[in-house]
Amino acid sequence: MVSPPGAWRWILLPVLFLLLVSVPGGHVGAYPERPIRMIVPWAAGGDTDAIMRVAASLLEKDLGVPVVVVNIPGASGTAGAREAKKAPPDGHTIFSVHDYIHTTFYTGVADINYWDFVPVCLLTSTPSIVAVYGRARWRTFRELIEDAKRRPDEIKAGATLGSTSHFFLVLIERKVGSRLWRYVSYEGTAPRMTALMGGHIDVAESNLTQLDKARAGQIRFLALATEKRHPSAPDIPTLREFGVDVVYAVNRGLMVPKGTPGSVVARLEKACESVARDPVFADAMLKQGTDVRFLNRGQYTIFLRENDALNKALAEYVGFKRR
Amino acid sequence: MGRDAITGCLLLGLSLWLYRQTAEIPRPHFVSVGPDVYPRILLGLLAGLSVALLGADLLNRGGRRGRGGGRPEARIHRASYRDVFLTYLLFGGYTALIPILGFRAATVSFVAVLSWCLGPKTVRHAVLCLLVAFVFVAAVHLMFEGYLRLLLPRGILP
Amino acid sequence: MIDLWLTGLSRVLQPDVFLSLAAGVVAGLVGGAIPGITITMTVILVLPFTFGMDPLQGVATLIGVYVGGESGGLITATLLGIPGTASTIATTFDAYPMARKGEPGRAVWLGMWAGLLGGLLAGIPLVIGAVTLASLALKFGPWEYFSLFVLTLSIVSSLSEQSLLKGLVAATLGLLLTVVGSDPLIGAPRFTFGSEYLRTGFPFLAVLVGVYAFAQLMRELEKRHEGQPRLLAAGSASLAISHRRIIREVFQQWANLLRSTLVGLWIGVLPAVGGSAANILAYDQAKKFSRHAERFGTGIPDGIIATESANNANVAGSLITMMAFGIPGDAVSAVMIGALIIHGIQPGPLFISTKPDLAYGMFSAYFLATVLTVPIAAGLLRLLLRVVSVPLQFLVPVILVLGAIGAYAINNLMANVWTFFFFGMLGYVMVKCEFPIPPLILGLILGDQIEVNFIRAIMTESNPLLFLTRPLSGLFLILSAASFAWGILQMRRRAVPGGLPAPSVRG
Repeated sequence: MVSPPGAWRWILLPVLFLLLVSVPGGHVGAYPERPIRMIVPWAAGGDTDAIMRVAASLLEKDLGVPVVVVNIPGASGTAGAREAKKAPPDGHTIFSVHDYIHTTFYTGVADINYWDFVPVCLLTSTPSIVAVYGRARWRTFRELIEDAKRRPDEIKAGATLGSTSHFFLVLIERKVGSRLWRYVSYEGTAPRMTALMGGHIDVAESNLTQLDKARAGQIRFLALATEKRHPSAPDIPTLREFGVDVVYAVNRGLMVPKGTPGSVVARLEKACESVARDPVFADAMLKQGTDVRFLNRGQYTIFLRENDALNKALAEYVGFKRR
Repeated sequence: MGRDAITGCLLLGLSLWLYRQTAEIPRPHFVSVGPDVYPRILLGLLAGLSVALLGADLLNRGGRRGRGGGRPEARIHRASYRDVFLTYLLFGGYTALIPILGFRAATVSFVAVLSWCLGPKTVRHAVLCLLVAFVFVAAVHLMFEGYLRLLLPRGILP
Repeated sequence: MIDLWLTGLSRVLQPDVFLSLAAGVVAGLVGGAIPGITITMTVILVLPFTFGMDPLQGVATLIGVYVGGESGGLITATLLGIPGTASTIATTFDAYPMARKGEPGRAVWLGMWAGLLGGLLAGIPLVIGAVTLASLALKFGPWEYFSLFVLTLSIVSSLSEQSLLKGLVAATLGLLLTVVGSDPLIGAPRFTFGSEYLRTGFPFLAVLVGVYAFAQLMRELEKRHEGQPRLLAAGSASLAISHRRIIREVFQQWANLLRSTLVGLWIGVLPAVGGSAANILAYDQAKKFSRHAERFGTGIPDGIIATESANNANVAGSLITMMAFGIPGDAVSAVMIGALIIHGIQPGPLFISTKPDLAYGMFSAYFLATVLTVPIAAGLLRLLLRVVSVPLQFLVPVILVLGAIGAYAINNLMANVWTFFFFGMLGYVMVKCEFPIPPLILGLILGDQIEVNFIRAIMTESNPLLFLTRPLSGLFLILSAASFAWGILQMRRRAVPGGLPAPSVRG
């Protein structure tokens, strides 16, 4: 073995470098041409993740390329939104989004809103429920509201402050026209339900995924925020039945970065529609307490605009200021 | 002043500086405990501990010098520090290169270059370094991208 | 009951489920053993494979990963001194020194057998007392959580070899690091200085692996030129051990084993506490009950037995909370719940009674995975030992790249690779300044939870005295004070001339 002179290194490196650069090769083809990243701005195992993983596997079937779920949790979902916004607008990155995109904007957490993306479709809608501690003394929603009006600031409501679970309860306060709750910060559905089961909070927003806990008597569902009673739980009255006109749900859809070509968006929209019509998807969503609700990009754009105005008003009502 | 005393001073400065920064944290009126409260408590604690660290070092200075003898690091070969420095330098460069070259190219270069620099300077070793780099990256790529569907960063180069 | 067991067991022993479970154990062992790839990440990576399986087969695979991962973490902690996962931080305290003293086989197998026994013991309450235990856990309010985390932190600070003060500084720095980024209350930016990168904060996994991997590898590089024996120079010769002797050693410490199992089990049952606390608390109780506390940290069996039995019991604990109430005990069980949901099963309080086949299948899978880990680990260990004896010039870049991949995969951001690198430098500086690293990591892991529970408590009842007057919370705080007192006492005793302990990353 001979020890090479120092110059060896300087020959070796460029050769190595050339070798490498020539390895991967890109070519232009019809969309989609390679695996698609679906950015889920929350951790694996959550509601959004569970819904979107089902959607991804069905999108894959329609598009013919792998659709890989990429979880980018952090900073109340804004880390994922930021990455999605930065991604090249070629349809190979899609962003799964829900109402948090409006709330984080108006509470000043993020400076990204729905208008930074091109809407593709709305896929699902998960109706909200007013839930109380399983051994609470309120049997009906009316009893709860009357008690809350009598002693505002005493009944403890768990919520992710400045997000959907908070705004839902604020919306009720606004419709009832009175302060009702004392808010306690519990971020995420799982910690909130745990605290509700332990009686550390009295009220919280819940959804039909937690039906099992209600059936077991550990939490109690008082009212559902839908227009009509829900087929999976016909025994739960709606808020409207109590004269509180609140219809509220967490709505999940898909978007792509701004600048994505129209033909690509149209292809994705078509795939999205076939997912929404797939009985496998409907069945999976039913078991997740979620309604399939398809809106095409035109309808979804209008929906987003209206939803945005509502969230803006709610954020101002609560007292958030955009920075 | 000993090393602990210097650290204590630095940490004290850090906590005071960060304490001033807490004024920037927004405090909405509808929460009873704002997001600035907890950092302030911690910074107060850190400031107190830094002062204690400083004090303890100044008080113990004489005793420690007598007992400690030569610090163990003093014996470490200078060549060792060169290797340590080189590793940090190359890893920093590697991290900067990933978004440009993409994971594959950047990693092959990093593994080959670092193992070459840390090993004997022979032709045999150079070949071995290249081989290890290529095999390792191929294995990692197959494993994560092909099988586990974890998409590794792409570069801006094709 | 018996017939449910038989159905469950027979289902798990069918080739398809059995093979997936075994594959899960292998994946867990490998994932846990690679520094940078943690159990949580392995479970997420394996998750897509379970979509095509039937529910039991899918969950059995994930249970295999979970159980196998704990033992994989043990291997890295022992052989490299780098905790592959957060739940093996305290394992490095005694397992790594023992391995360095030329007994890697004994160190690994003590942990392996203790883990098996702890896992089996903790399986009993999983089957017969799940609902009772989980109901107890629900009684923990924000006050209790806050005080429990404070206790964990005070313990890890006072375990520090040289200085309680430095331990406390490290812990406070760790807590302060969690402040950087968006606040947990309303997402307001704190100490981000306008940087988007700092907005997401520092994920503790990137920090953990960065600090330990760099610190450990750099020390190896330093020693290389001194002609000191490198890591595992003794090699595989010392891997030959007598299992009978080791099992006897574990059984001799039955009281330690039992206590550690209980600690691990209970921490597992509590939602959102996690294996790192179980590991530390178990080590601490072993040390405090021991008659030779001063020998802890020098490579004695007691520490290994305590930490590893607690780790495996912790798995059973978090399965209890998950199966009894559908509440995730930690990040791994959150992913498992996600896997069940994708199969259309929402685990909740009625899960065991409405889906007994699946539930007993999962119980059986847990026991089977615990038992299977031992022979599979034995096979892999030989391979892994060979990996460890790879020359340092190859080991360093390879481990660093794996660490970088792991950091990246936390949330698919390059920013985490920079975090990994930055804390790699900080770790080295800390070691050089003789600051202990475990308090920093624990501070970082528990920081968010400490703040969140502190705020929740105040938001729920504005009276701060409740931290002291609620019985359990008060007890935890008194115990933390006692822990400090004990730490100071130990230090006084040690101040009498005596040799410094063997150098390790603990500092």
